[in-house]
Amino acid sequence: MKNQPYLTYEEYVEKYRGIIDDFDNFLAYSKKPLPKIIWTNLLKTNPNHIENLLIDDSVEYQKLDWWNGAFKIFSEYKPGKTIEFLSGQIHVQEEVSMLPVIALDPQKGESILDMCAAPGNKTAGICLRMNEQGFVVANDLKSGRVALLQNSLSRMGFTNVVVTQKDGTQISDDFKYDKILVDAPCSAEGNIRKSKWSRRNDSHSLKFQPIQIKLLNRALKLLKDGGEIIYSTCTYSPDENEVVVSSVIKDNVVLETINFPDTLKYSNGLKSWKDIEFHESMNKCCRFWPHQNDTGGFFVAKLRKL
Amino acid sequence: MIQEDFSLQNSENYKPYEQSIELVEFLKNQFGFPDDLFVGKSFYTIENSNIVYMLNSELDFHYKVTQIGIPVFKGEFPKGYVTNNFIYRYGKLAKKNVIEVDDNSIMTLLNREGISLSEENYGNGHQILKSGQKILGRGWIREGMLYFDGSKIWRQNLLDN
Repeated sequence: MKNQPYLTYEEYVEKYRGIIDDFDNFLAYSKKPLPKIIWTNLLKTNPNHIENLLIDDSVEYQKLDWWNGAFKIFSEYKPGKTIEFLSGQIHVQEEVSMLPVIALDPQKGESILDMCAAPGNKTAGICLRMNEQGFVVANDLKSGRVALLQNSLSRMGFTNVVVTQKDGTQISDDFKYDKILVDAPCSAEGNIRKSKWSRRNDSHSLKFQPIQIKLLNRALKLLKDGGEIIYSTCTYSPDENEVVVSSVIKDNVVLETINFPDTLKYSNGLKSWKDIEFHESMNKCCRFWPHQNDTGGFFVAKLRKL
Repeated sequence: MIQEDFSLQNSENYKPYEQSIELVEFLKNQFGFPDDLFVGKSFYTIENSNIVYMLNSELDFHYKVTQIGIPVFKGEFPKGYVTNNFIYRYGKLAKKNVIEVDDNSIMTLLNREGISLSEENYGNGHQILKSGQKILGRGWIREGMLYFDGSKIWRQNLLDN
């Protein structure tokens, strides 16, 4: 593996040509700047107030029809230094990274673990959608990332979340959860629109697969019977997605359909990759390519423990 | 005392805040927060931290934690201060010691200068600063002068904006 050459983005994603509906469009969108999302913290203010601010600042925006109080921003705008951001009235997030929260569908009164939570964007979305009624544990491994997580949740002002710093694969199973989000560390191929392409070879994805499988297996141990896990990554690679999810599918762990909003386009999970044939239910997984919704790339799967 | 030793209580590193009643009374008296804001809330401290946190339920979770809900108060009560996190979350519900500041005053305060106030109108101590509908953060009155208590980073961000 060490002797493999480093690849450009174009060279690297060539292996996905056969699974992307419009490869040229995919490449074109991969080079475009990524629109950001601003969403309203409904515990502190209302969407009209935030929309008026955008109008006052001549910001080009569009309302997201599947998230109350969220605005897709197309013009140059830096909300991070506004009083609205500093005081936690708004949050800035990438659109596709809001999708695991939609898939998780947090309900009032549930206990939810966000296993790899930093920097806290998805945890914030979970707390908001529960209207703070329920219990959320936001965990991450490294102290620097936990600090980011704490700052983010404190700024937003949620009162139903506890932060822990633990290796996700070592979290004690004394406490069982209704739902768990495993937003796993990954090769981040889908971040090309917001991050510089880092040097990598063709087998880069395989570095992440072992920890992804361990995290998912641990999550199953931490889950109540009947509970749900959302597994997500910001990468395209089937080696980090279908292969990982397949490894835990068994009689009492099944994939379920995710009810994403009709306006969102996505591709179903693969039936096979290289020489691997997947379980037929793998088509319930969802892969978001950048050109489908003008976003970054993402993968989301929903598992239920029977 | 053994009961004070976090490390001996399973793996928990937090405990209920012993002065929670006094803290709630202080918050209600100083800012006129409504009683129901604190109904069902629990207060905790974490080992090696001087921050008091507020959670919307009892914490029945026996592990080490690094944060519990929202930070409310920092320091040894009654010394110390209410956090800006708490003020930004609940400041709109405050009925007392809320000071409206105009644009010129905001710039003065952000530059770490004080503003002279009429002492008949305001007492000493913690204040909530606002401008219209915007809660700006924690203020402090000392000897008739109002100061903005935000961190250096906050002040710089607001100045840049």
